[in-house]
Amino acid sequence: MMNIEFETAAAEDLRNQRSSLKMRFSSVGGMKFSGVCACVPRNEVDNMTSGAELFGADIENTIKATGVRTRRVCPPGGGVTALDLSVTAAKELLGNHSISSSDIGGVLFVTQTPDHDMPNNASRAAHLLGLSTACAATDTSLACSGYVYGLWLGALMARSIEAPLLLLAGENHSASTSPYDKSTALLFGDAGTATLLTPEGDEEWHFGFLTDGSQHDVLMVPEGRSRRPFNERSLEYKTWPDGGVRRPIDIHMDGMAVFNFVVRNVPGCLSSLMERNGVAADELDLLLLHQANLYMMKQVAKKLKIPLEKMPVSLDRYGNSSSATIPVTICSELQKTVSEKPHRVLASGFGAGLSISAVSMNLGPCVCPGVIEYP
Amino acid sequence: MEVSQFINEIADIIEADPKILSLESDFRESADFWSSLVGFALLTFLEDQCGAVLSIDGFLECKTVGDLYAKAQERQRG
Repeated sequence: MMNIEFETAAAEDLRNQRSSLKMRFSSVGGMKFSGVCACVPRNEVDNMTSGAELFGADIENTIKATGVRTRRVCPPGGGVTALDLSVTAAKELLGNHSISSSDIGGVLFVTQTPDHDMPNNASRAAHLLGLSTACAATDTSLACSGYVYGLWLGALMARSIEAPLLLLAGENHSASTSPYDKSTALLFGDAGTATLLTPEGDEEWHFGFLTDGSQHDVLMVPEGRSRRPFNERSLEYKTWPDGGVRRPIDIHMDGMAVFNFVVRNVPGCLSSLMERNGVAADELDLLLLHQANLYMMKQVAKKLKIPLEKMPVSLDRYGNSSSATIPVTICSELQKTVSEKPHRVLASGFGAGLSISAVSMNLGPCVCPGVIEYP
Repeated sequence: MEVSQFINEIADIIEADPKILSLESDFRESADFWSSLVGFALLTFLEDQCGAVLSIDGFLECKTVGDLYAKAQERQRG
């Protein structure tokens, strides 16, 4: 066989190419990841059954491609929300922790499925958890990149108010997912999580962010808010140009565009963050990725040359719960080990925005009751 | 890129065993599972690592790993 070398200038540039999009970096010192708990609905959906009619003979291949075999979803028609799940997780966490509700000085709730447009989830959560009125409580609206953004914003808040803070991250996207749209029908699960951040110690958390709003429409809910208000046609299922059947208030996802953005940008972002902070890939204990799609996650890990054994997966049983997937994965896959010892971690969320967030930090030892069910 | 490295890269993308993959292998049949995402990952690899920008029709014409390699060679020859 002949060996062919691709040593043209173009190929060389492409081989050495990092993302042409720029990142922003930030470091926050003096923070401790003190505890984490996740809560999922008791209702489990088996994708082989639920997707059989939509996908027919392709169902097994589709499940292999996404990696989601079962997922937990809130009962249809309302009644159980991300707020319920996250508050339940927080109660379990505080019940197992030396820090009590009276010590908490702040609540940050990451969600794109709040109970109401007004008021925010965080204020209600603070009340339900019996926190003092001397509490800073606010929501932040981000999807899959939301948890790492929450660690960053939560750390800044906790350092500023000099008090422990509860980071609640939860979603019930199942309520805005069309069962007739092949690109999303089998993907999303629901979950609520609680993470306790305490301003103590001398560790530094190093963050990186990338935002590309030019692709805002490849992962969105088109209708129901200010740009296109809810109207009488919002609940009508129709066939869209991409072939998907969904309502205007359902999640629309251009899977190829999201995949393209992730594989072309996330590895470079994570490499840049590691390089900036002097962390080599082989020094990492864990790669915690947002549980978007198993194939995509594997491609990211491979590009970073991080063994797949260091990349825990919860997607197969819990689905994609957006901002909650990273804490769900910690609770479901790492409960024992993070309870006992520290780990050098690289975590990253990526998705709607389009947005990438990443953090290099130590995780554990911390209080971790694991995954609990609601009710 | 040498042939062996090219085959290893393709094996990685289609999640196949590189020891049994060859230029004669049908890459769709050899994939652990075939999906549009895997196809897209191949296109991205050919574009980013080999400088070969394929049209969808050009990609659909490819059946074997060797066909993909040939496309990459065409780009190299200009």
